[in-house]
Amino acid sequence: MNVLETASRRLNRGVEGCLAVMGLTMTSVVAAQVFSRYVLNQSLFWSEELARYLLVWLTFLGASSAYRRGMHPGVDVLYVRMSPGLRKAALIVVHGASMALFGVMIVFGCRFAYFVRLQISPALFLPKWILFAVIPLSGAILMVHALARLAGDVKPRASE
Amino acid sequence: MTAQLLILSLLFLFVINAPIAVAIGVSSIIAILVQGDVSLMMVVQRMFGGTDSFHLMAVPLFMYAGVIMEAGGISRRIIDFANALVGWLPGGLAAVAVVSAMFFAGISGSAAADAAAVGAVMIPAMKKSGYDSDFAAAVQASGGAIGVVIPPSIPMIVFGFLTGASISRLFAAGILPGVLIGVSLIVVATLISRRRGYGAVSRFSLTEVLRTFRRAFLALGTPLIILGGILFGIFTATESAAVAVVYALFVGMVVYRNIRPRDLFTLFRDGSLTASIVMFIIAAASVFSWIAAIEEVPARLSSGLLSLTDDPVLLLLLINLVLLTAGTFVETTAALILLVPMITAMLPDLGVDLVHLGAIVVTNLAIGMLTPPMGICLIVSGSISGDAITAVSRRVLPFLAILIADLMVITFFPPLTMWLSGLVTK
Amino acid sequence: AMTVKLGVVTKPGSAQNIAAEKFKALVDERTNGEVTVKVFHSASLGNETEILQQIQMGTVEMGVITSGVFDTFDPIVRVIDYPFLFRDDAQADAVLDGPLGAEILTGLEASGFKGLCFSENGFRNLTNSKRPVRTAADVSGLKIRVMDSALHNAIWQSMGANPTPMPWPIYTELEQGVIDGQENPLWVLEVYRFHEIQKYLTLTRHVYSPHIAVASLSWWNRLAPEMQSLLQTAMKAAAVFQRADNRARDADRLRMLEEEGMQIEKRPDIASFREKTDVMREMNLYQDPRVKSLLARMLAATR
Ligand code: NA
Ligand code: NA
Repeated sequence: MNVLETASRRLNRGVEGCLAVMGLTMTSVVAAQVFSRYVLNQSLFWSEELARYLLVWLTFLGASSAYRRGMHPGVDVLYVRMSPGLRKAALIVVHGASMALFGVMIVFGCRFAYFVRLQISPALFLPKWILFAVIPLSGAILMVHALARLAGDVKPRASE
Repeated sequence: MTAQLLILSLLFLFVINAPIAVAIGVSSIIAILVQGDVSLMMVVQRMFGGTDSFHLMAVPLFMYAGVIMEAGGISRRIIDFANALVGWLPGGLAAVAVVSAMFFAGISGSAAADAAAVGAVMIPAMKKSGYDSDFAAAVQASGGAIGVVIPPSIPMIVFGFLTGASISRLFAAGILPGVLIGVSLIVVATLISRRRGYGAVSRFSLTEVLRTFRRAFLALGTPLIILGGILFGIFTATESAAVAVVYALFVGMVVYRNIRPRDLFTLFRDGSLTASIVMFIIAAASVFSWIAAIEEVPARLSSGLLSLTDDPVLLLLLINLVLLTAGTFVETTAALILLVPMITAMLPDLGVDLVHLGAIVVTNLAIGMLTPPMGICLIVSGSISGDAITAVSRRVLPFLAILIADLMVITFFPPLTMWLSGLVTK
Repeated sequence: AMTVKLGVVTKPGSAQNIAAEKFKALVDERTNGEVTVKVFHSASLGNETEILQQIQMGTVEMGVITSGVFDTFDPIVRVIDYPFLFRDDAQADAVLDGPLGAEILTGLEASGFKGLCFSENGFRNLTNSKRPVRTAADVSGLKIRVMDSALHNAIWQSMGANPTPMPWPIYTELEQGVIDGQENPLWVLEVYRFHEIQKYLTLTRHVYSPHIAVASLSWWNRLAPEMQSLLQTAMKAAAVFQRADNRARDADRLRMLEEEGMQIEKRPDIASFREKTDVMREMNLYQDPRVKSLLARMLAATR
């Protein structure tokens, strides 16, 4: 069993668990705000900020799972008409481009998290670097998925 | 120079089938590197900032509402009710497919979800009653497009997020255009069915309408919560989405008992996954719009269009043309983020309300979901019916023609959008 | 030739934009077109926190930013937003243009900003759609939109209202009654047409809210001293112009709002509000020694 593929699969299982929990939490938080405002006549001060940050985390972690599942749409109108050789070249360029984006997310995500290390969020007083850390974190997970996929795409399968 | 490189690298990455978010993100990175005096930390800041929005929270929330209602077994009930309402028309099943899609549109914010949920039942049913398979798929694909015109609507949320237009008003503005599109699709489907001899399934019966209405009543409560909550000012669009999810969970788990607690994991995971695809494009596109704003790309493009004409009617036609072309090739969210800044830069010259413009933009992109190559509704319906996209797209042509006629009505007859939108008050 | 990118989040005609456009014109005139100021408005660069980050990075050179937003970068700024601190415009100008204001601006250098001067958002006033408000008791239970700021939340909580943090814009939320009221300077009511949807205005003047013109410190330090002083004086002149312009128009605004049917409480019982907000001084928000010391001196200077 390929090490990369195993890592990619295990990471993704953890991430998908988080996605479900964060989605459920986000829904509950927004619903709680409505309930609190109308029934208790007391707005929750923290709910909007918490729900927004859950949305951001859900976006980037979700993007990594969607990437592993090959769900991100592309424009394949010309691609499907390419010769096999050209198609392979295109595929490799696309892998390269994807990994460049993920690399920027990792490297500059860490630098940006360090850059905002002293800032805190206005309602929950959460350190912003922890919130921003989702970008390098997801970038790293995406990179593992991309490497696993690249290995699969470049090397013909041994057993099939 | 930077601006040209931004656009060219984007097109190149589109052509080689890079994921749209990657294409948009990487072309922005290239532009930032070429521009020279901007740190790549901006990529991270804009990705975060672009998704850190209370309004965009409605995207996953409406996805959850749709997924949960679907799992709760509402499609079947809605379709039965639609069948009792319009099943007696010639080509009754085609009309049922469209009407069901309209009802489902009131729950779901996505056209693909709409086409998939209703199509899974209706396409096999139509095929079984002797409809041509590619025609069945074409009907369902066209019906699916209503999903983003009738609220809730993910593209309207994104439009509101981009322009600051009220999402509640945009939602209200979509209702009548959605009904217009639905009725006109039924007319075309009925005419074609009569010529081809697809028969009616049933006779009209009021008791049957009442019986199926009672069964579908709770399912139809979701659109009422969403629209009523927004029109009467009880919640924001985001909050109405959360309430709709809670309601859907209640109906699915307690009343219909089709959802067990352990299904929640799959439902929320799937909803999050679909939402994150849209949201990741928004994240990447936020980097793109930032560097485009620094380079003044939207202003330059819009002054390019304005140099062609300053007649509002011609401008609106031109905008429709640009949007239809974009919708043909580019995914909806990406098209919105790339084009809306340019279009709103022209707003003063167009003489239309921002909300009306939003309805025009979203209708265009809904039509774009029916045109190959990047026609998500065609892809979904074709995969259910087992037909090639080309076969389905040929049969979709008459529907496209009437949709473009509808688009002209929506563009040049403002009361259709503005009347209900004006009622969103106090 | 040099281009200076300046970010604001509001639309043309707003307080920040007036200061920014005046600055642009003055710089153009005083450098004979050598230096061009490009104003990016309507949040095309991001929200105010994000513009400040861009200024820290040196990606954007300048900004005119609401004082409350600096809170996440340096809590010292929150002393300005202390409720009922300034008596009137003259006092606000005297303090903020004086040594205490300079201390705040210099303090920003630790976060990478060159603080240039204060222009004004203005004294904030309460509007709502439910009932006339004259005393603090009338505020009880009103759902009032506040900025995303712990301080402003605390102010309204201490008054007994139901503060609801919500991102700008809020027209539809007010119109639909998701919130009952909001608090902002008069120009906001005019520019964003809140008189269409809010019936009651109370001149509470509970917080004096300035905008702070800042530049990227790393960029600023690379400029020649003559250029620094040219930009500094131009921005100060723009701020003085904008403050005078804003104040001069308040009388007309009040008349317009009244004609449009708003019911205006011009002399609310400020003592009753003050009594409720006095607890804030002891709150955690003001316990940092630097913040506490400056607040004490601010309170002394404004008594
Ligand atoms: Na919909
Ligand atoms: Na298309």
